[in-house]
This record gives sequence, structure tokens and C-alpha cells, in this order.
Amino acid sequence: MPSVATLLAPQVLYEVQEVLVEVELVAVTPASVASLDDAFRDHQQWLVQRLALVVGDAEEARDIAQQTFVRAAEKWPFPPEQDVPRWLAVVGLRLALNERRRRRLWGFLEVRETDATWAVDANPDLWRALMSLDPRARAALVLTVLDGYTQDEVAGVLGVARGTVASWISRSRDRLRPILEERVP
Amino acid sequence: MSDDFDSRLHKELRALADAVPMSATIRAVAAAGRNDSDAVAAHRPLSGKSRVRSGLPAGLSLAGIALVAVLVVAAAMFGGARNGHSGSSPVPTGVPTPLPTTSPAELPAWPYTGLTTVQPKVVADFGVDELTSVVSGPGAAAYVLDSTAETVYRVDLQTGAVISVFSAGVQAPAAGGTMRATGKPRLLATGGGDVLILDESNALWRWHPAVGDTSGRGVLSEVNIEDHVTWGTNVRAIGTFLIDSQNQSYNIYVVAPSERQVIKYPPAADGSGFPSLGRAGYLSVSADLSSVDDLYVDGKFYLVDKGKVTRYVLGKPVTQWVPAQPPGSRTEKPFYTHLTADNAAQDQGTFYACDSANGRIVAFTKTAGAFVQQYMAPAGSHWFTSLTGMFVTAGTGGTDTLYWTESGNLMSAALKPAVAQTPSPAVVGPSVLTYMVLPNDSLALIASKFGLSEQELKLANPDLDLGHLAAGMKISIPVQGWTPTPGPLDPGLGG
Repeated sequence: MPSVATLLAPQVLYEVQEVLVEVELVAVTPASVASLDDAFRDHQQWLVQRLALVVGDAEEARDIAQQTFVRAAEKWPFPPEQDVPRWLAVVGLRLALNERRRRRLWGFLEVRETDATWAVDANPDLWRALMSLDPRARAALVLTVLDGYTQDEVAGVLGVARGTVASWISRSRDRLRPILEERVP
Repeated sequence: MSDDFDSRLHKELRALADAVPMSATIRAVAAAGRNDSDAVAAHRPLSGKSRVRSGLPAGLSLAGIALVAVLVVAAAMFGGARNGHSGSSPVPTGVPTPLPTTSPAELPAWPYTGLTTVQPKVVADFGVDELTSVVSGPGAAAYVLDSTAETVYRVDLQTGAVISVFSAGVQAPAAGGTMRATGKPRLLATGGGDVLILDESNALWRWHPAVGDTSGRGVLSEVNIEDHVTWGTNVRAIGTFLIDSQNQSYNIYVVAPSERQVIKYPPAADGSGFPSLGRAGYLSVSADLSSVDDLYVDGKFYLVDKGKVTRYVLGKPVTQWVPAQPPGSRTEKPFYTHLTADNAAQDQGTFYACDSANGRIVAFTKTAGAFVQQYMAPAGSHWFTSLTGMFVTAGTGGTDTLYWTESGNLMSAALKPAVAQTPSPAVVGPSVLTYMVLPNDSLALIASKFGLSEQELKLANPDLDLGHLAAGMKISIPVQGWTPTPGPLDPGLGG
């Protein structure tokens, strides 16, 4: 299993440098570092999977997951009461959604072509329907359907009203329903 | 069937998630000679106790360093940093960033009535930070609550300059005359030239600009409210109402779900604070307030709860006052989350409410809730779907300016009045609402509800004998500037 550092993406390196220069450094004990490694091992896979469904690109999802773990490293060790998966989901999704927003704002920046071969191979109809949704609606759908978050919790994660989440999920389900029901024998 | 669908959706999404390739492409960084198979080595550079002021980070290889140098430039292009700070300690630049605009020709295909497309502009970009509230405050500035940085920033709306006015963990004069540390800010309000900040421990802080200062310097102190600890941990909103413009004194309203009340505090006569003796529950009947998203006070009292805006007078809900359904063929009913107005005076001006479910701002009159206009961002953008705070400044020529926080930005957009269109024969006629008479209504009561005289009501209903009202009777209410909407949607208040 690779460590956090061996997977650092270029942009992450930049952020690590910032952390080193700007932040008063905190002593990190070997025990807490080991725990961070455990967290990475336990949570990296599902985080990448969720992010890939939201951003639509596995490569980008891996980058964002790495950034998320770098943010976690800045705050490590977490207090015992901290729900680590939830923290990772919150930060990861916010990074993902903000990255989309930033690219939209800076229209002259080239957006890398998405490689979704894996998704098209697995379930092309569902993938296309999923990608037609707003990214935040995708995030809400993934968190509720795959991870069992309540709408209130998703509202907290995404920083929107519960009604907004309810509306997103309702519309998403309506969009996906024909895809899934078409294939019922 | 629904369970079946849910089960299938879960299964198919799970399968799709499992198909995500986990093997990363080999990156230059990973191949740059790092010999660290575990995270201990990776984080060793972070274990120093000294503050590194300059120089390059220890533990990075030469290749990595070179790559960092290149990427600093690249990341700057992406706008990923703000004044060189990482996301955990942000200082926003406040440099306005133009948004790419979209042609109005790209409006969604569904038909709208009274729709205006706005052109959003970035006033200040706070990067990935979560902005949870914004209020209009002293010095023609916006005050933005940044939950990530646990800071309240003042953003000069003329220059875009950003300055911190409140941060968690700062020692400030407490109500008891001692000093205490501020907590994480949770909610904002303004009143009488003060910016009020409620922190996580329910301490209410008052920031007031220094005398004569327009740059953002000011004084922070705790507001003396003895029983603030009784509000519970889930206060949903705070608001104020100016009761003495000369002394700039105001009531404070606290939406406290744990108390099932909106707690109202009048100020002490000597200006010493808000004594608990004056505390009163505003609502005539306690209620579940756990979903309240916003409140607005202008002499009348408005709560935004579960997507609906309700007017209260003397603590009682006014069921006859309901914002009209915006015309158009949107399938989603409005779900309002935030409410503001362009005029602070009671029953004057226009309300603006954010309908996040439909990604629009709906304008309606304060007096009768009559629809005025709806505003959307250009097609393809997602503004107004996750708005977290908003206020409006009145402009000239009927053009107000909306400021709002969303997706890490303080945004603005001109809210231009509706373009006059040639009305079809179907919509020519007096501007009226239909009102259904309730059992205890009198002509005087109905007239007062809508700020009209009895004579005006009689003139609007020449065919009815308003001297003998009966429950269920429908009468016309004349409304200035309101245009009736054709079609099945009935914007009437009770008809």
C-alpha cells in the first residue's frame, strides 16, 4: 500500500510547500502518523470511488483524494470524537465542487479530457445519466444512496438547505429511473 | 416499487463505484527518488517545532523542488492560493474576478413569465472556504462569515478590500468586564450600526466601526445578555429591529428551537445590554423552529421555515399573507431559504427570496406578497442553488443590487426591473389580487391588512356589496404595479 506522500500530485506538493512555509508546524508523533497512514489505507479507496462518481474522472478523483489527505495531515491527529470518513467526505467533496467552479470561472484554462472508459465499459447508460446531473446533485445522490447519509447530513456536508438536497435527489432519481427500469425484465 | 428502485439504484451505483480504477498513473513526483514507503517518512518534515519562514521544504527531492517551482506559477494561475496561504488559513484577496458571461439566448427552454437573467460578478473570492452568511453592515460593506477560517471578514463593496473583523480565539472584552476568547462564529446580523456575531458558545459579539473610520477598523466587545446560555446549541437565526434611530438601539430576536420560541430582548434603557428581565417569547404559540432558515424584521416579522415565508404580526402568523406563486412552468414549487428586502421600512419596498430548489431569486411586494419578478443566472451556471446568505442594496432607476455568498464567493448582480412588454389582451386590466373573505373578516380589517382604505376596496369591487361580507366571498384587492398572470396558476392570496 503506498503512503500518502508517494502519491502526492503536483498541486498537492505546492500545497505542502505552503503548509511548510506558512503554518506553525506541529509536532507529529510516530503514533499519530501511523494512524494517518491507517486512515489513508482504510478510506482512500471509497473516497476515490465517490469522488470519481461526482467529478466524472478517476484521475481527477485520485488527485482530489490526495489533496484531501494532505488537508487531513495538516490537522492530524484528529480529536477522538472526530468522524474521520465524514470529515474526508466533506473536505473531498468541497474540494471537488470548488475545483469545478474554479475551472468554470477561469474559462481560458484547459480542462483535461475526461477518461471515462471504465465507466462506459461498466454501465454506459447509467454513467451518461449520472453525468447529466449537476455535480452537487450527484454528490447528494452518492452520499445518500451509497453511504446512507440522511438528507439533513448531506445538507450539512454540502452547505445547502435540506430542501435543496431533497429537490436534487428527487430530480436525480427521476432522471435515473427510466435508465434502470428499462432494464427490468 | 420505490424500495425496488432504491435497491437497484444502490446496486448499480455500487457496481459503477467498484469499477473506478484505483491504480494511479505514475507521476513525476512519485518517481522523483522519494524513498518513503510509509507515511512516517512522508510527514517527517512536518514534525519540526520551529516556524519555517523561508526556504524550501525539507524532504523534497530536487526534482520535486523543480516541479514545485513550476507548479507555484501554475497554481497561481488557477487561483488556488490566496496571499500565499493554504486553505486552512485563508486571507481572501478580494480582487474582483469577472465571470464568463453567457448569452441570454441560452436561457432554458421552458417558458417563464417575468424572468430576468442576471449577470453574476465575483466581488471577493474566498477559494474553497465555506461562507455561511453575509449581511450588509456599517461603512457600505458586506460582512461575510467564513466558517472554514472561523472569521468574519468585512468586504468593502466599493474597493473590494477585505479585512478581518472577528476571528475565533481572540481575546476581547466580555460582558462582565473581563476578557474572554471569542468562539467560532455561527450567525450574523446587523443592528443600529453594529455587526452582531453569535459564536458557538452563544456569546453574542458586537463589532462597531471606530469613530470616523471607513477602512474597517473597529471595536469588538461582547453584548451583555445574561441568559444567553439558555438558547441551546442550535440557534437558527438572529435578527434585530431598530426601535430608536437616535440612540441606535434595537431589539434582538433569537430563533431558538430548543425553546420552541423566538426570544425577543428589548435593550436596557441605559444601554447596558439586554437584561433577561425584558426577555419574552415573540410567538404567541410556541412552535417547532428546527428548520428555520432565515428571519426578517421590519416592524412586521417574517420567518423562512421549511421553504415558506410566513408573516407574523404581534406574534401571530398572518395566514392571508402568502408570497404569490411565481408564474411559469417550473415543476418545482418554490422552496425559499433566504429573505431580504430593498427597503427596511415596514410594508415598503420589495422582498427578494432565494428559491434554491429552482435556482432563482423571486421578488414580491412586501405589502401583499404579489409577484414582481424572478431572476436567474445564465443557463449552464448553478448560481442561486446553494446560496448561503444575501442582501440587497437599493439602486437608482429601480435597479437593486443583490449580494450573496455561494461556493466560496461573495457575488453581486444587478437586479434590473422587468422590461415592459406589450401586454396581450388577456392580461390587460387592473392590477388586482383575489382575496377570499374569512369568517371574522371585516372590511376595515381587510383594508388594513393590505394597507388600503375601505373606499379603495369598494372602488375595486363595484359589483359587490362590501357592507355585507360573507365568509368565502372573493373580493378584488388592488395592488400597485402588479401584473396579473394568465394561465392556471392563481396568484391570489386566498382564492
